[in-house]
Amino acid sequence: MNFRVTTASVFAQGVQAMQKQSQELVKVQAQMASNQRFSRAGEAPIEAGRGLNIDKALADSTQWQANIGAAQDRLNLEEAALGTVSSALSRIRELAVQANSAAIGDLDRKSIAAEMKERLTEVLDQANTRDGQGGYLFAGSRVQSTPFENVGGTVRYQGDAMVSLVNIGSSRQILMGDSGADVFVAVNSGDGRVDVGVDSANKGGAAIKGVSFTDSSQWDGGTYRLQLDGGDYRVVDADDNVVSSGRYVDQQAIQFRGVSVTVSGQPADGDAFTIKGSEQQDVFTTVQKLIDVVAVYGRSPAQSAQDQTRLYSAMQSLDTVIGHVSDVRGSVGARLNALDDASSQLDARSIQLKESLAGIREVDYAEAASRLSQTSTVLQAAQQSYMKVQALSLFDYLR
Amino acid sequence: MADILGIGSSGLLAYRSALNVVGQNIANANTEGYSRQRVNLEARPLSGGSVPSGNGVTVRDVQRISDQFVVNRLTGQDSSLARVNTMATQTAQLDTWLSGTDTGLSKSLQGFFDAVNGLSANASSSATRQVVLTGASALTARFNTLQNSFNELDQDIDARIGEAATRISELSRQIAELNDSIAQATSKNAGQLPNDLIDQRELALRSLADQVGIETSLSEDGSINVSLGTGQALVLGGRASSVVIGPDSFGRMRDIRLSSGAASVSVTTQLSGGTMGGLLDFRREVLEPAVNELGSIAVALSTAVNAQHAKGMDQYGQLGGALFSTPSGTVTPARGNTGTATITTQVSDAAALTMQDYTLRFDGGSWQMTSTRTGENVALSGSGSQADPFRAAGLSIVVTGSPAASDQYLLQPTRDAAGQIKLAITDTARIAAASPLRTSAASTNSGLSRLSPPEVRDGANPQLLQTVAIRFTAADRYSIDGAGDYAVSADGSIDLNGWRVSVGGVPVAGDTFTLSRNDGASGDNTNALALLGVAEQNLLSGGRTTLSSANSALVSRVGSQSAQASAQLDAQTALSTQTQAERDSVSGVNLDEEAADLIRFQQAYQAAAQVVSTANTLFDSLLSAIRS
Repeated sequence: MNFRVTTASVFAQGVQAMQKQSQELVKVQAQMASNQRFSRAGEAPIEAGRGLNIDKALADSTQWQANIGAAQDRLNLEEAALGTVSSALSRIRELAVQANSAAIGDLDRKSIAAEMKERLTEVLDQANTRDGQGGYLFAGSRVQSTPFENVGGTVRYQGDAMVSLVNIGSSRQILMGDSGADVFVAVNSGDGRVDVGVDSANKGGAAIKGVSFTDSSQWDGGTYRLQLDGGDYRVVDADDNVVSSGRYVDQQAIQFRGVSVTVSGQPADGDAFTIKGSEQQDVFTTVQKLIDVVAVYGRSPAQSAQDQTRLYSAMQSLDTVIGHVSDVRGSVGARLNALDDASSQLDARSIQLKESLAGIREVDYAEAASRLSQTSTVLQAAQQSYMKVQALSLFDYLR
Repeated sequence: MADILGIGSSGLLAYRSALNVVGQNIANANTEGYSRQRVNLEARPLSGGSVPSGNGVTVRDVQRISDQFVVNRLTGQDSSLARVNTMATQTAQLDTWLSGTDTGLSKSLQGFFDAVNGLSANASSSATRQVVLTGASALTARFNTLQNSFNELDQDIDARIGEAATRISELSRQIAELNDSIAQATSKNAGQLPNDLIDQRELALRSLADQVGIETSLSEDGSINVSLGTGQALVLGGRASSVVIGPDSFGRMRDIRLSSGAASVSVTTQLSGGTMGGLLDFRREVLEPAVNELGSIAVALSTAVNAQHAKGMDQYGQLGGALFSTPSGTVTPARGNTGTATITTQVSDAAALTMQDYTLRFDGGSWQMTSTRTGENVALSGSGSQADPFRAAGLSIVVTGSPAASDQYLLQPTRDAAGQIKLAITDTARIAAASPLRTSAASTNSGLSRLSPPEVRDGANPQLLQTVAIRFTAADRYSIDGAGDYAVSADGSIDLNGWRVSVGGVPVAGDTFTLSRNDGASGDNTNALALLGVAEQNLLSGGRTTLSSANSALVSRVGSQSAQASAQLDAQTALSTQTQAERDSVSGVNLDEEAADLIRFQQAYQAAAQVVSTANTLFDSLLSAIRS
């Protein structure tokens, strides 16, 4: 087709071409200046949608990192408190072993008991530790009230069993601590399943030296009495039914219901011991019972024999407590490790997400720079050719 | 001798005219809508002389060079261009609001849930509580601002449509007048068309096409008839109709009517193309769905957050109240309603919300609900009473009063929702971050059993906060408050009074747990954690999208519409430019061409003058011959 060119269209097209290049130039300039490939979704709808989703993922990661930080702070505090508790309990155990020595006199017992009391106060103090914001660490969710209070010699727990969970991943939560109930209250007496007691009316020199399981599946947790009479023993249950009986031989194990009890010393007729299922007994009661056994003075031989059994029970309970606290510490340590892992995973994830986001939103400067120079070259060419073309007119020759 | 003079002077006259036309062309080289003209010369025939020569030249007519087919195409493309241009501009505006970091929803939505997360990590701190309130109020403010912007855009559309209507009326009057003038001039000047008036009318038609899509037809007397959309006459010869805006059936000033004299007819749904068509399309296809979708996000957010908040306990020991005021749907009765019915709607299932508006119509016996967009009928369940409302499209609809036959109501479930959502509490202690219940184990328990913290399943249960003692009578059986004998369910849980607990470990007969009000548990974050979970719940689109993914879907959708509109604009611009070039190629002025014509006609004029001069010389020689 033979296209007629008109003067106005020569101008219009020239201007239009320059306009277009100028627009492109402004766009490249804005991209390079802001480092944003697009300023609204319409310029890249799919990328914009993906960008928003990655923004969300990135914000989630940031949240989880913050939670990990908060959980680490709390768990580190708890770890420190439990460390102090552990060493105090170990010291109490050492003291108890010392007090059990035959060479110890009343005066020494007194000072040992005094130190044990100090150590108990220290444990209580740790149980009432506060975090950086003044909330109690071991109060469960009742962070504003003192969790452990000594009321008339008994320590009572005022908190609850709720522990805050926080999110540290898309479907991962972690306990930010442990409640006082879990750490200090929910411990069983004795070795955790069986505990022993002694009648205070016992007159002989016999004492329980050991309790172990021969077949723990047979143990029913009931209360049994071991009665010694005329060189024989009998074990009766709560309803006075005899479950085991025989000749008493010093240090020979007496077995019933899957437990094996070792009694040593010479009993008097009518002496009796109790063997029963463990009960929940908090850390403070356990230590207090131990102190009560140690802080006794001017005892008769019969009383001393009773003390032996009581001390055995109290030491068993203390060992259970020490084991329990160490379990909790282990779980705290495991959680701290898990937090470290989660944190480095999130770091890696964040870096990856930021890279994707940069790929979506940010300007590729090499590409943009080449586009900039290309566009400005084209614009220059458009301008120069426009000047040339518009200068051509037949009227110039009509003068 | 006289004839050569006549021939010469006819040449002079003809080339004067030709030079005039060249002058006119040069003068109008840059006049918009001007079509170049050409002088058509014609040899005057012999008028009975003895010498076989002609009788000079005469101007047959001054022809306007134009191709009606190209012009018609150009007019059509003006309509398309104006439409896509309007769509692209408006959609870009909407897109800028929705996708801008500081104007869009995503940042403040994330900000709110970030704040809730902060609360979950430190539930007792009043500072983190304050951050939650600030985040929530920033979020509602963002919703409100977006709604305001959308409403302004909506009003702006009305205003622009009004302007377009005025302009259409003006232009059609102008075209009708030009039709008259052209007919008169044509009949007066026998064959010589009034070229410049025709150019003016063509320009007016193109301006009209910019406003709205039109159809034109040329009638025998040279007038052009113009009709809108599906054939309603806008201009008929010398008579013009006007376009006016009136109230539609729901009282909104949105009905576009074609009015001639007293009669008027609604053409709203028949219009297409031009600025007006673009505005209507933008409103229907982009703006309204976007507003509705944003509203549905607001509704889903407030419903889900409030429901979860109600399952928690605040620092006053009370169950959580509403954190956000829940938006209500908008119901507009039709102007012509004669009954006394009142309709109220509530969102009963945010996941089932559509992005549509509905018309509810009473046919005398029953109610019919149809989508205003697709016209599809929507099945209603229920009876419409307070106790058993109609349920459809995620709404529950209650009718009170008595409707009359053919009463109609317009239901816009989420149209204003983003503007209605507000923060409902200002007291940080009212944030229900804690669980309302706690379990505690009796100190005599065996220590082998555990009960999970209670999960609230029905916050509205009146017995929820009652203290309950669960006493195990065996590992999997229990009594409540010392009475009854119940079995623990197979999955190890106990359900009662709207809560659920799970049994852990192996309970021993006699183990007792107490559930009681969770007073004083200021550090409990149970419900804060559950509130945080709302961000991950699939609340929208039939339970397939979360709040934030619904927002990114909205941003992407409007973004695609915007991208599509600008692609269309680019394509249409190229097309229009090309057609314009075709038109210019036919009708435009080329100054070089005119310069050549100028020389050509000037030389011819000089030659004709030479003929006259020669005639003069001949005459002189004849006279002197006689004299001598």
